[in-house]
Formats: sequence, C-alpha cells, structure tokens
Amino acid sequence: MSRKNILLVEDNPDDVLLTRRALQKNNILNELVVAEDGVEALDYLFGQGKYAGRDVRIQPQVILLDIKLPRMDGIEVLRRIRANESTRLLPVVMLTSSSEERDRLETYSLGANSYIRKPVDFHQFIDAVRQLGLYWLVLNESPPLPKGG
Amino acid sequence: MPEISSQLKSYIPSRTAIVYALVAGIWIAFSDHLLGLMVDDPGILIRFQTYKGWFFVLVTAILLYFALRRQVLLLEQKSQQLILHERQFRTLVDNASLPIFIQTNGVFAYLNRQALNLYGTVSPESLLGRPVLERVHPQHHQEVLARIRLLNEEKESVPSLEQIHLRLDGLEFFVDVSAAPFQFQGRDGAVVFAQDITEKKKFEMELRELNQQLEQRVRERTARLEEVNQELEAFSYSVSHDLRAPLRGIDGFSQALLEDYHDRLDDQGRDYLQRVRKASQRMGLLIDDLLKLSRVSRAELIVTTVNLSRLAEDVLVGLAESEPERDVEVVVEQGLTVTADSTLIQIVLENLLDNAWKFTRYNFLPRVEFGRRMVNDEQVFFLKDNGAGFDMTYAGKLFTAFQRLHSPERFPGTGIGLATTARIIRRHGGKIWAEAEPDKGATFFFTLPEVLITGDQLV
Repeated sequence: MSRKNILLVEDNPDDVLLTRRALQKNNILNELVVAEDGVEALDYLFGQGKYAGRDVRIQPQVILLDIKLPRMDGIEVLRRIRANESTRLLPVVMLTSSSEERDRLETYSLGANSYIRKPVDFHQFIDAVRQLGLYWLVLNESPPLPKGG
Repeated sequence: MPEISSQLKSYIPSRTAIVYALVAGIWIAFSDHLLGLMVDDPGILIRFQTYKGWFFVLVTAILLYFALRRQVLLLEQKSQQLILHERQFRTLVDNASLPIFIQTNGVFAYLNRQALNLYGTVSPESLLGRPVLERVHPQHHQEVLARIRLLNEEKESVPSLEQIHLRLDGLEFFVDVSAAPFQFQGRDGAVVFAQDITEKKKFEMELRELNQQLEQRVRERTARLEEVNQELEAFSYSVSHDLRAPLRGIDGFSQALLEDYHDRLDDQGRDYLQRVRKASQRMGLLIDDLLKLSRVSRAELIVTTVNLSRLAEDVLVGLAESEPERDVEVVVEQGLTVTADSTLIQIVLENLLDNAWKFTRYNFLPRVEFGRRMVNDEQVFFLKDNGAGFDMTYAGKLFTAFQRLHSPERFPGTGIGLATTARIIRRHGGKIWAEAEPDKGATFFFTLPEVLITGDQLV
C-alpha cells in the first residue's frame, strides 16, 4: 500500500520550501501536493479545473491549510470541505502565521481538526512538523472512505 | 358682598319696624291707662293726651332720625369699602406680571397692562370690543371655540394649553392659555391667563436642535472610531499574518545555509548567519508582543471575581518549571481577590512576575513577594523583588513601549511587557507605579477599583 499524500495549501513559496525541507528533515516521505490558493485546493479535492479527471477516491491523508490565501481564503476552503459529502471527514490542520483568536474560533467552529501556528524559529518549525507528521500520518487512523459515489 | 346686602336688605329694616311696633304698641297700651290713674279731670286728661301725642311724635322722630342716620352711615362706609376693594383689586390685576384679560361672548371686555403689552399695544381701545379669535392663530380657532363653549355652558375651568397668538402687528408668539368662568358687567365670560412662552419655546427648540447636533456629532465620532478600530483590527490582523512569514524565511534559510553549506563557510560567516537568525527571532518576539499589546487594547472587558493569589501562584509554578535550576524564595499573600477581566489580569501578573523572576537572576538569594496594602481604604497590590532594580530617574519610561532600562544581553526582553501591563491596569480604571533602587530591587504597585467604570474606554 502506497503512502497517501499530503495537501499543502500555501501561497508563500518560501514557506512551501521550508515545509518541504522540514518534512524531509523528519523523514516524512509522503508525496506533498501544493495548492497555491483556496481555489486550486478545492480543484484538487473535487477533481475539477486544473485537476479535472483526477481520481477523487484518493484523498490526502491530511490537509495543511493556511488561512491567508489569494482568491479564496483558508476559512472558506475549510467551509467547502466540510460542506461536501466526499471531503467532509478529511483531517484538516490549520497551519498559519497568526494566532488571532477569531481565526482559531472560526476554524474550530467550522470543524478544523487542529490549529498550529508556524513558529519563526526554524528549529521550532521543524519540531512542529515532526510532531504533526508523527501524529497525523502515523498515529492517527484515517476516517473510512465515503461509501458509493 | 352678601353680608352687607342681606343686612341692608332685610335684617335692619325689619328689626327697625319690629322695635317701632313694640314700643308704639306698649306706649298705646299703657300710656292712656297710666294717665287715667294719675288724672281724674276729663278736661285736663284731654289736654294731657294731646301733650302725650306730641311727645310720642317727638320721641319717635328723634329715634327715626338716629336709626336712619346710622343706616346711611353704615351704607356709606360699606360702599367706601367696596370702592376701595374694587380699586385695590383692579390695581392688582392691572399691574399683575401675568397677562390677564376678560372676554365676554368671545369679545375682549378687559385687558390688564401685561395683556395689552402681550398683543403689542398700550391702549385698551384697540382691543376692547374686538373678537378674541382675531388674536388667535387660525389653527387654534376650533379648539378656542370649544373652550369658550365649555366655559359658558358647563361653567368649568379649562386647563392650560399652548397656542400661537398674534400681535396687532401680525407677529406670532407662543402662549400658555388657561381660563376660568367669570361674570363681568352682567355678562357670562371668562377670565383668561395667557403666559408668553415664546422664549421658553425658542429655548426648547434650540435645545432640541443642539441635542440633535450633539447626537449627530456623537454618531459621526462613533463611526469614525469604529472605522479607526476596524483599520487597527485589519492592520494588526495583517501584521499577525504577513509580517511573520518573511521572518520565517530569513530564519529558515539561514539555518538551511548553516546546515547545507556548513563546510563552505568560515567561522565568521557562520557567526553572521547566527546573528541573522537571532535578529529575526527577536523581531518575531517583538511582533508577538506588539500584537499582544494591541489585542489588550481592543479586547472587550469581561469582569468577574479573580483570585489574584492563586493566579500569582500558578504563574510562579510555571516560571519555576521553566528554570528548575534556579532557587527563588517566593512569598504570596493568600486570599487576594479583585473584580477584573481574568484573562487580562493574568497577563498583568505574568508580565510582572516574569520581570521579577528575570531581574533577580544574578542575585545570590533571590526573593519575590506578592501582597497587598490598604491605603485610604483602597487595595494596593505590590510585587516586590530584590533584583537589579533601576534608577528612579528613568521611572517615567518604564511603562512606555520599547523603553528598556537594562541591556538585552543581561536581561532579554522586548520592552513591551510593562506597557501592556499598564494599559490593562488603566483599562480597568486602576493605577500602576514603581519604586526601585539600582541593585536593591524593585517594587511594582497597582490598584484595581472595586467598582469598575462602565463603558469600555478606548485606549
């Protein structure tokens, strides 16, 4: 059984590179799919637009979702993921710069599984990614696939 | 005057008649009999009887004279009194400071000086005999007619009513009119009191206008404040999201350089990169603290009873766990409570205790004490340490953001913590100050009023 992938929704290429590096440093070898904004993330998840024809029965093991994104922000993406029958059970980890109370409140209300603030210190960032990978990719059992479809 | 008239009309005339009838009757009944006993000679008797008749006429004439004279004097006295009374009342009414007039059949029958003045004239002739309605604004004609009917037919007073009346020159003014039924010169009418309330009305209107202006201004200010607040909110939200991302890049790629290109960098190059990392991390802390400061200003106060002693102990336990190698003597007075926002007060205690913990670092026997003093019935909380202290000359800078009194090498920090602390205390309506001496320690004092000022103040 092949490893399931990780969907990273992040518009900052530096952050993408650093996240990739942090995953590598922690020997997390799952494929990293990157969506640069909310619209692209939904295209991937629902197999539409740029990703038309993708086999949507294969969904990421975990979605790492930034909040501030061009076109459609992370909160709206989360809302759509939770509203759609085929994606509503996917684990979504908010991975963001801010720890604004209203962001935490809103994302948890919408059913985010976790909220992680990206630390400035890269050592701390690597550690955060390590724990995140360990938990969501190893320890945590994925929800069953939706029946039918 | 009913007393005088009844006296004159019936009582005195009838009394006079009765007394006369009695005296005359007794005289007639007994005088002949008495004369018969005293005189026997019929010739003399007849003469005496004639004398007696003359005598009777003389006596009754004198009596009548005095009785009538008394009546006339009484009458004259009474009428003098009446005239005097009438003149007094007339003077009173004429000179009353309240405009008073009398109308009979809807026509002016009398006006006092103030009433004439009210309608813009000094001569009564210009109004006497004219219909009252001529001086009333047409919009009130119906109600005035209804009131006149009520006065004439029901003989009832009418309550005061605000009306617009017209001066002789056509100028409109506001009056407060009340009236009572009144008979004047034999005709049904009413005495009317008309108070000029134009000034009062003007004042009311001005007041209303001012109030409206004030409300408008408050609305504008509030809108402006809300706008500024939203801008501030958007700003700090943006800071929170956008400012930290480049820092992560700086720190992350510096670290990547240190790791991946380690062998191609000499010691100096590695030192520079470490300095870049340290600077970016410090900036990260600064941003975090700044956000905390702005959040403290924006947050809504949710006031409950807070146990300061327990809160302080919790914070101190956390500090002890973060630096287990340090041995600090800690004294916390028990049972200290305040009414305050618990989240914000926790930040206050965290900042103050963190400072006390930090600045006693180089002390041989560090000691931190949290307690309370009562000053003029007010709770003054204090946090005393025996750490580095500071020169009181610079105490004014303590609570200003980014002001530090110590080198960041010896005592790290952003210089925002005490500014945040002071802002929280001030938002609660309290005060904060400090006393210190270099190398002898510092004591921070703060108050939190029992009863909070309602209404959230914007700092």
